[in-house]
Amino acid sequence: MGNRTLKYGGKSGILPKPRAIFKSNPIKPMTEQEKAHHASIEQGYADSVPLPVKKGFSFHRKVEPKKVVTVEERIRKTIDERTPKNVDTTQLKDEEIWKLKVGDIRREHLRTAYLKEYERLKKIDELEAKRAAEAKQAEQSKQEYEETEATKLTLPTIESYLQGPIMRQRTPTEQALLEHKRAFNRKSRELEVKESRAEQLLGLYHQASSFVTTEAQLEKAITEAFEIRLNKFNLSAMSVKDRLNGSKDSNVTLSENEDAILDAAHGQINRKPGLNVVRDTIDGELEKLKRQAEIAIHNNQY
Amino acid sequence: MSLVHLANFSAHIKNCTRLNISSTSVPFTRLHLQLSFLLYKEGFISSVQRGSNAGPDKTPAEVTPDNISSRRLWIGLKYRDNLSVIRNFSLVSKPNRKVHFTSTEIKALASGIPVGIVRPLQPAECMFIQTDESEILEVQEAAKKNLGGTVLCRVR
Repeated sequence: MGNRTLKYGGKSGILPKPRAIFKSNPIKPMTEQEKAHHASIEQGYADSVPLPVKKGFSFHRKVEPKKVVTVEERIRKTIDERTPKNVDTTQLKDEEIWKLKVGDIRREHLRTAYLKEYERLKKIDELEAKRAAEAKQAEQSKQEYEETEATKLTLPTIESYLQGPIMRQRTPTEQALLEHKRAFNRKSRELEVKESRAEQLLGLYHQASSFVTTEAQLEKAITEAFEIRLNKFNLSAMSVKDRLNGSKDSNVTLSENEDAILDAAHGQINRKPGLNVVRDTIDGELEKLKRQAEIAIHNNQY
Repeated sequence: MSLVHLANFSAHIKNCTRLNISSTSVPFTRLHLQLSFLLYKEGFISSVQRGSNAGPDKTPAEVTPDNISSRRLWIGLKYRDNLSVIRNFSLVSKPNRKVHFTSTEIKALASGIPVGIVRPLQPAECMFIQTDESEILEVQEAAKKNLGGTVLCRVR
């Protein structure tokens, strides 16, 4: 076994690949796939490269597709048109007749070969198209998945919950309403705090009348507490002590509760004018009411 | 989607089945809805209902920002011969160890082959996969659809 067989894997007797009969000119125009494949191949001269110049040759920047010659056309041109016509065989020698016969046979063989090759290529194309369609179908069916009829009929409700958003967002009207509500709450809380502070201030103002601010007042207070009203002082001291111990004198609690109830009922602070009364007085509202009441009484009398 | 919430869900369901409780509620979230839906589809639970803290809704109520905190998903648990249908419910992906499989691996898993650290699928066992589109599917369904994703949990 010589080296010549090495390129066939060390095997002899392997025939070479058959020559493509329709190599120089394709028998049918390129399909879309072939065109796409042809376009994807990077070939031809780049824009920066000048085209070569050679006498008798024409060069193209891109590879020009070969001219399509159909099998019929090929048969017509190479066989039918070249068949000798109007030959008078009576005038020919035997060898010439024989040559003509041989030519006829060869032409017929060529015609059969062309047609057979055409059939073979057609079959290959059909097979490839079928395979491509099947592969496409398989790929598509892989992607497509449909649930069974039973599943479709039994589980639509819960699945519908999952379609859209889980929660409905507030509408602009609802949002605006909510903002108003929040603002109102905030402001009313602020007002409450302010009012209680004002009340505390007013209470302090009322108490300020009994504050000891001068030395004479201090002397007077001491005398009153320790000499004149000793009992009251003792009572106060005891109530403070009781409070610290946690127990309370019931009488004291009762009087405190009564005071608190009276204050709340009359809108007063420690039996003195409360915040509303003071506010009305400052606004002149109380005066106005008084005048209206007087007018009403006056009108009723007459 | 939080794996912590999923772990809480699975632990809650397991606790309830061990006490033979007939129905329980979980917060109304997309994750819980998806999982309950799948459990219902696979026959592990008997019912899924929307409701509030008070119980399942008698008339359907809309979920709004005002009532979302009180909305619950009521799940009816299933028992057979005094035994819970859900025997085990455990996470496969953990918050610190996510298990992500390709479609080929999912197919292998669906056909009962152990893949990586995941033990093979047992008979009557379900595994739930979260696909890349955040959709939760049973492993067989994911294999049919040729999808990959994170393996969330397994139930049997």
